[in-house]
Amino acid sequence: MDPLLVVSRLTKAFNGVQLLRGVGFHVGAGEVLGLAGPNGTGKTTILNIICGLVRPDAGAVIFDGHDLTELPPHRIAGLGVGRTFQLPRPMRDLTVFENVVVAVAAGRSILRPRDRAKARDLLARVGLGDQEQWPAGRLSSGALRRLEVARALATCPRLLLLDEPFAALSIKEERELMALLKSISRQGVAMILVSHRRRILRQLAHRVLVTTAEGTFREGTPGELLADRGLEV
Amino acid sequence: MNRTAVLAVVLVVASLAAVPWLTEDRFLLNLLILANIYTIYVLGWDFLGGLAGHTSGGHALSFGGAAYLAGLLTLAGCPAWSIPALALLGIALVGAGLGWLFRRLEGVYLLLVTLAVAEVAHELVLALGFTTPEGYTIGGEGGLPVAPLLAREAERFYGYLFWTSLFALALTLLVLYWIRCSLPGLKIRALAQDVVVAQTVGLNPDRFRVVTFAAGTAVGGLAGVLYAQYMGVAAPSTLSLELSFVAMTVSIAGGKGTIIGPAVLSYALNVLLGWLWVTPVVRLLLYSSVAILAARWLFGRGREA
Repeated sequence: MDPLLVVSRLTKAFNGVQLLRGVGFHVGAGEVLGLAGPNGTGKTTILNIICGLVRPDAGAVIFDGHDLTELPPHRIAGLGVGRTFQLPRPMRDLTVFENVVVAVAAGRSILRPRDRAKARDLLARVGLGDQEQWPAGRLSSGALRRLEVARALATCPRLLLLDEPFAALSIKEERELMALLKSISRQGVAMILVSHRRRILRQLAHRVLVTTAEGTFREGTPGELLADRGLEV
Repeated sequence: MNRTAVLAVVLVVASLAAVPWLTEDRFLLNLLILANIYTIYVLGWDFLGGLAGHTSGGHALSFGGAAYLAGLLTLAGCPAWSIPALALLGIALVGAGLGWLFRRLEGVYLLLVTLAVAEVAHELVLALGFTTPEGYTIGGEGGLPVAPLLAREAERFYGYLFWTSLFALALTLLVLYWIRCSLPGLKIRALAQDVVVAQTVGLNPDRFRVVTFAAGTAVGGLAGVLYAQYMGVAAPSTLSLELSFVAMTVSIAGGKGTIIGPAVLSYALNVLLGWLWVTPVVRLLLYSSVAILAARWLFGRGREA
């Protein structure tokens, strides 16, 4: 089966600093690729390039036959690429419900009852059902992470880019999010999961890509890479 | 704006509609006509700068631009009844063009460049004047003549003009309120909140920028064409800096993006300042002072980011 996402020879420099040097990997439908590595080695940049917020200097990102490096972010989202951000970015003056429903109905001009129902369902799945009328700016940091996930899922993604979704979560919230992501993965949604935490990567990822300070990368199974205590993740 | 506020607005508009039957006082009716027109104008900025978050510093361009288009259409021999629609279409296209041109600009940069465009237009209309073979001066400081909707000598001239402008105001309020509550309005607010996030959920910022600029400019233009047809002239003052400050400051002070707040404040200020005969210089000082004070609030979020 052809991979859903193929990233090849990705190169990116910021202000003369070479962040990525020929990074390449692929992700299949329903597969979870863990993305680890020290801070500042380009993990978030890879996600930003995939979702169109940053243009690479060279290389290609092919998603389901489309070259994403040529497309603006809203078109990429429309193709089925959803994402969360490392620092939660709620639309603070909108309610929690509005944050999600705007993503559910992004491609439509009229809000249908089923769009509202879907938004409510997603909020219930991430445990925010009873806070849907709150302004998003009032949520705790853990709740903001869950809102990010709900908003990303609202776009019906086939590929979900998760940037440190487990940061600032309580043990209970972490367990619930883990279960949610596993169920989403079983439905065939591919994921790229950025995390520094070996335990989470072991439990969720099928393969792991570790970026290095030199701009290169190592790829392998969680068992192979994460057992290497000398490898900084 | 909740249901109670909508009901209150409907009641106020209905009450105002009775004024021409109660009095034929020209001073009062003139004051209310101008309050209607300037409130429509402020609503145009509140939609563009408040709801959509595109801080325009040159909203007078919509007002004066539409007024001058009405003047040009008059010179071209268009009938008076066709002028509002044609001028609105023209100014909406201008707005859409500016939206496209400035689609990458945000915050203070957008404010400055829009202010500059309006000022350039202001200087242009002042500079461009010519004398006809009959000896009449057209353009320049005297502005352009505009065909009025109704002859000033007509019976109940002020009453009909008041009802026309009040109807336009009520319609503007209703349409903008509907947009604010609709899905497109939610998308506009989402883009205003965080354009990066909004893009990653599938919203096209360029398309919304063009549409909101066109709509905000058209609303300001509606006020401009009503004013020009009421006054019978498109004067350079319709493009003045004061007008741009008025729109910004009243919208911010009234509750940016709330539609009803700026409308109420604009109406009250226009009636009050008109009643007190406050001179344009004092108004400019007043509005620019508020604008300076509001700047910290206006761009505070940008600095935090």
